[in-house]
Amino acid sequence: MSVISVRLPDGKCLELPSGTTVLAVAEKIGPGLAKAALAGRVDGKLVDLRKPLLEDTALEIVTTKDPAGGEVTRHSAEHVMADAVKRLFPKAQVDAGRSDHSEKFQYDFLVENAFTPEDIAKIEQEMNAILAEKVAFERQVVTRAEAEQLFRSLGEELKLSRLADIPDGAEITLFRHGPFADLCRGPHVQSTSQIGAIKLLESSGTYFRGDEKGPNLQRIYGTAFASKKELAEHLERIEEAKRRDHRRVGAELGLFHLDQLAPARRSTCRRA
Amino acid sequence: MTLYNELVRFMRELYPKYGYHEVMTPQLFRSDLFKTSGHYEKFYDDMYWFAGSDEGEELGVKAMNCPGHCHLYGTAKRSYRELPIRWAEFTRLHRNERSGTLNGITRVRTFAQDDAHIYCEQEQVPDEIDRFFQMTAEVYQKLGVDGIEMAVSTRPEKFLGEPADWDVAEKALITAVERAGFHCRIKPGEAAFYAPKVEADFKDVLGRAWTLATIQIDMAMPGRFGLRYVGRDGELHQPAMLHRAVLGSLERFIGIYIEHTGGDFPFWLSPVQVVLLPISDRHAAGAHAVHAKLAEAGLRSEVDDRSETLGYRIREAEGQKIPLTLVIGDDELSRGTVAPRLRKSKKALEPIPVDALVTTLRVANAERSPAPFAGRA
Repeated sequence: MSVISVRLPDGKCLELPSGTTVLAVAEKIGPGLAKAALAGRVDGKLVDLRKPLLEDTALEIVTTKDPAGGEVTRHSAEHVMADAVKRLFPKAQVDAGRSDHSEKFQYDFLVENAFTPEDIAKIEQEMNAILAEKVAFERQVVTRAEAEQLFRSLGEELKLSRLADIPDGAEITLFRHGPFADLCRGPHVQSTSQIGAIKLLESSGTYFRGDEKGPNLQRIYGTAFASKKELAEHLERIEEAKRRDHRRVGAELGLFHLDQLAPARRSTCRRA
Repeated sequence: MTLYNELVRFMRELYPKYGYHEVMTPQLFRSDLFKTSGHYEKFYDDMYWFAGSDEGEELGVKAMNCPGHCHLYGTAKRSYRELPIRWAEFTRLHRNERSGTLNGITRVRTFAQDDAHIYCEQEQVPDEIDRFFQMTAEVYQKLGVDGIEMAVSTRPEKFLGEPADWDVAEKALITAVERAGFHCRIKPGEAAFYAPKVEADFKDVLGRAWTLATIQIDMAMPGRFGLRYVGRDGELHQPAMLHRAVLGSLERFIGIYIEHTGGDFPFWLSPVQVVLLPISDRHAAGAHAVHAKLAEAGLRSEVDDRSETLGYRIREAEGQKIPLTLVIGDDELSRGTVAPRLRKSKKALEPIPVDALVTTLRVANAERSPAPFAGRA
């Protein structure tokens, strides 16, 4: 079995068997770190804890103390949201999430009726129940046939379409937690208990693959932070941004005027 | 027009100190100019074009000042003694932005920049970058903009010019940032195809990052325009060319600044600096008299003599973010004093003679004070 060298941020090098996962490296460093680990960082990019390391690597372990930790928890909260929607709306089909989890998460769903505010509240409640269940996330490498069979059995037609986008020969990974599974490259938390405080923001309509002739989908946005306090601060920042929106302040203080007659050219009112 | 004009006036007042001269180049040029600069090829869709009246030639509305400045440089023989040439321009630019990208006044189709181009000898480039950072620091200090981070954008996959020249240029930018005492972040591959650049990013009060000041070393235009100067050795050399802006687009800067300050501008930038509130009709004439003195001293003052209650008018002034309120009643008129009331404070300051107030405020304006009487609140 070949050996790889894993260099840690403090300069220390660990000699480990090739195929050791990021989480296993964290466990070697210390149990406390392993418990708090959310992902690894290699070459500035986040890497899933379950990913086997196959060559010499410089590795950092990302926990909630790292700002990037929020990207992982929001990604996992995204999956929990889809899980909650499927539990409450079994006929719903799940399309895609988003790639940028720096501030929020989202999923698109094919459902019979648009989500009402009451639906959103129920989904959020269901999500909180799932978080409390402390469900573990698992990573699975599957063949195309296995993936097709899984999604067909779940009635996920849109997913089969997305599966076809994956080029031949590329590795196909699923992430599973409890009954929910999706095509995903990770990174994900170890357990839903690491996710912290969640909040669903708004829902809107969208089109599958952006095509107006295609099926109408419902998109739900949400966000997650390590603690209720951080979540509250984030929501306050969003409200403050709305209060400070220059178009709003500009109108309140009579600073400028924008008009359809001269699109995107302002009239300098008497002030700005 | 206050924010716009006061910002431009501020920049104009700094220019002599930093060695800039202001120029004005045309709005419309024959497309030949843009073919020389390379914008016809790379920027065609983002510009406005139409047939001119002379023989139906193609005219372009300028989207940037650099081609015009390069052409202007070429209209006379230049000597090393004249360099660095620093030309500033505030005229309007037009860009055909996609409607999906438009946003309030932060992305518009017509705008102006505190634009300038510097033509200098290669050895003068590091010093020019240093001076640019000094100017930027001075401007931001007056605007109350801090928390600046610097990033250098390096060559993209496809770039014009020699790799060795890009090496020199990128290194010059990085060392200049470090000399100015900043940690230098690198944005690999983010430079324009014709110029590596430094960007000064700042985080606004909501933690959002905005790029404001930028300086770029142009690797293509001097060559494309055949720009030359006679050196100390009597030989012809090609000048280096820098593009720079401290605020960037004025419209965009104003939009960002409004969100950063929430409309609570420093005194010297407030569209209305003072509002006079006569308590009742019989005090109106006296209020107007004080207003006249303030206006004559160059202050942006208004009188609110509507029949609303005093409390209502004070709250309005607060809502409109006016820095100073002056209530005018019997006491004020009989003693010739005013009691300045600062925005957000619960009560007025001690009364002072009207002339003393006018002088204090005139000086505050001249010195671009953020808040006159601040220490006294």
